[in-house]
Amino acid sequence: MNPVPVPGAQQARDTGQRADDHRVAVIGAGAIARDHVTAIAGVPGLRLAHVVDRHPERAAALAALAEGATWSTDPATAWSDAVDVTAVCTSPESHADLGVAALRAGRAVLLEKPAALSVPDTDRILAAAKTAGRPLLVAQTARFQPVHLEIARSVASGAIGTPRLAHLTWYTGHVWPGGWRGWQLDASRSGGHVAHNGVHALDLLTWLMDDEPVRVFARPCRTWAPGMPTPDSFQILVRFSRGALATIELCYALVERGTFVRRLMLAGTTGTLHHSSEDEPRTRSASPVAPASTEGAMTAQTRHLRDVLDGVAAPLTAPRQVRAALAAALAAQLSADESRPVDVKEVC
Amino acid sequence: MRILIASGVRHARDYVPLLRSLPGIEVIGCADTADSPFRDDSAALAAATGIPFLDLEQGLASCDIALVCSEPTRHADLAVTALEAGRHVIVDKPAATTTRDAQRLWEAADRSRGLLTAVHRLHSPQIARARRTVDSGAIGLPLAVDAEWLAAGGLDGATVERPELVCDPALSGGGELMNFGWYPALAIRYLTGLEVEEVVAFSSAAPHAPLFDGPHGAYGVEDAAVISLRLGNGVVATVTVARTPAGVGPAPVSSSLRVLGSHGHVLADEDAPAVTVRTAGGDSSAHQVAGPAATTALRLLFTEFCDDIRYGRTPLVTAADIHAAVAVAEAALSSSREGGAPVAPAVRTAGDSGALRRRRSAPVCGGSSSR
Ligand SMILES: NC(=O)c1ccc[n+]([C@@H]2O[C@H](COP(=O)([O-])OP(=O)(O)OC[C@H]3O[C@@H](n4cnc5c(N)ncnc54)[C@H](O)[C@@H]3O)[C@@H](O)[C@H]2O)c1
Repeated sequence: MNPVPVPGAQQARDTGQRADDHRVAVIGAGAIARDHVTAIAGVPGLRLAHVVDRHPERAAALAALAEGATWSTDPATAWSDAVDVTAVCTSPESHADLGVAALRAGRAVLLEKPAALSVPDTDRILAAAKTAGRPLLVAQTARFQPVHLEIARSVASGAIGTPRLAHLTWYTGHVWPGGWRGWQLDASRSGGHVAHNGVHALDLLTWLMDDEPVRVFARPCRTWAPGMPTPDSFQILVRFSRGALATIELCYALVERGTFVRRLMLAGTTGTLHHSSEDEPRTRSASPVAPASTEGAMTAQTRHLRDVLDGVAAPLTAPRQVRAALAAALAAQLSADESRPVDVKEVC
Repeated sequence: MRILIASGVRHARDYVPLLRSLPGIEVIGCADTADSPFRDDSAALAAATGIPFLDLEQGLASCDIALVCSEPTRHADLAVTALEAGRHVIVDKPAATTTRDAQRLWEAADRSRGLLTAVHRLHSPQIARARRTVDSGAIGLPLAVDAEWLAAGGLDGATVERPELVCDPALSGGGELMNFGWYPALAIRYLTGLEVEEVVAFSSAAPHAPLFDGPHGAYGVEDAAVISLRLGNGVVATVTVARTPAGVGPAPVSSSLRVLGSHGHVLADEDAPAVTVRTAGGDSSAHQVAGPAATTALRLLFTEFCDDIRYGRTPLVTAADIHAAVAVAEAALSSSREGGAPVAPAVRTAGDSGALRRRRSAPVCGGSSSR
């Protein structure tokens, strides 16, 4: 069979490196860094150039995945002249300092969530990006899940009028690695679970509702072990500045690792949007396959990063959204810690 | 069983034809008090459905069951009257709008030889199935419940003939939180068997503006509320209730529930399972398997209650369950008035000792007694 030649197909298949590829340095060679590296390999125009981790073997192992990539344990090498964009993939406690250093060195920055562990630190990063005039993309990857991109398009097209009530339910079967040593369990490193993963949901709603949370109440639920220093699961009630309300339910209690139940109801002044992963054709297999509605988010985010670096798109995470979502997540963490509703301005 | 409609506003329009379709049930008439603000509605219901319009005393004297179907703030009064007349009573939802009234109801039920229950959705096939799943042990211990109850519009007269019956606190006791909070409060109790210890709610009641363009704002009541519950044993739940312009499913009211357990989870959607039908003209409709859940739930409620009476069983929803559900709605209203301050739901205050004796077997829906 003679395939019909597709214009551009040759170019798309060509993954060979080019001189003008954006050179990416990853700092923090852990689980999410591996996902970034896989995505980078699939997006032409980006190239993994360098890896940094405080553990040399992790840096070396990740660098080995990309031809020509170097590695180091020295953080400063992540924003050297041989690099165009620094992807900060460390655990949260170092995000602010590393992000600011890279921006000050003139690098574009892809910053893993949560952007920082305090609002002043977030402001420091946003100010550094502004002063440097370099792009900053915060890895709020949930925005890039196909279903959320579709919902955002529907909202933008006026399909439901103005969104006023959201009910977001995200259940997953995922236990953090590292046993009791995992940074996720240490609030001084993670910010607490409500902060570091609540920010995904709060960012998504901040973006979709085009509004900022002003008051939150969060309630923790420890499903894995009663003695956990931070809960694996939690719920957040949200009031937005223009009065909209939201219920967020994030639960890591699904028994089967790698499974998901995802649902979003968004009621607007003229209509309602609804998606449930239960309505999708699903794959059942020995190792679970993620629902199609969430698939490919990392690649979409990485392609967006390339577009940002190319100067053809502005970072999807606008500075005011980065600040609003993080402030709301920190307020929610405080609420969960102190069992009381918290005004977001209390943490600003 | 001879059933009297005790005040015929709101859902009576739907209840009468359904009751008449059930074998062994006779609707003997509709009655109301002389001073009822909705006496005309009751008379109109009688006329429209071709049943006699009776005096309340006269009606109570000749019925087995009084189905109290007035505006919500008068539910408790009418139900207490019927219980005191020795009748069995089904109260429309919410059975009471304050825990004071719920307690009066409970005390009256304790004194009466009549059985008391209230309109609920626990016989809805999906909720009943979720309960069976919990009871089987398949999902381990329930740890978190997430409930959503959404109505689609309807206050333009489409499903609620008089918006003030839902919006005027003097008639309704509150807005949509009072109107719908009842259902998820009972469902969560039914599925977990636990008491609610703390309630936090944000709502769109005054001083906030309603989320949608309905009549709620004129009365200062909420058209939406988001609620967080802490139950016994560290179990948590959320409730999202609202009247939204479009709703979320094919039915006028759609509800879904998610129960996460220590060893699995169960999902319930009252609109599912359904068969969708698409016509050549491009219309599409959903046909719920075994019919609309709301109708199934009501039909079973009526027939099971008749059997409860006949065979001396405890109804699925008792005075204790009514009190607990009202206490959750009341606590949510008060929390939302205080910007989401945590509120403990009221518990029954010490009454006569007979009441406490009865309580042992009372909370079938919520309590730990086996069934
Ligand atoms: N966007 C998403 O969807 C998503 C998903 C998972 C994790 N994350 C975020 O990614 C970040 C990393 O998470 P992870 O699961 O990959 O963690 P991880 O523990 O697997 O990896 C972190 C790595 O960073 C290294 N590191 C930590 N501090 C360092 C420092 N100061 N200098 C050099 N190296 C350092 C550690 O040695 C480790 O190898 C977190 O902020 C997390 O919230 C985001």
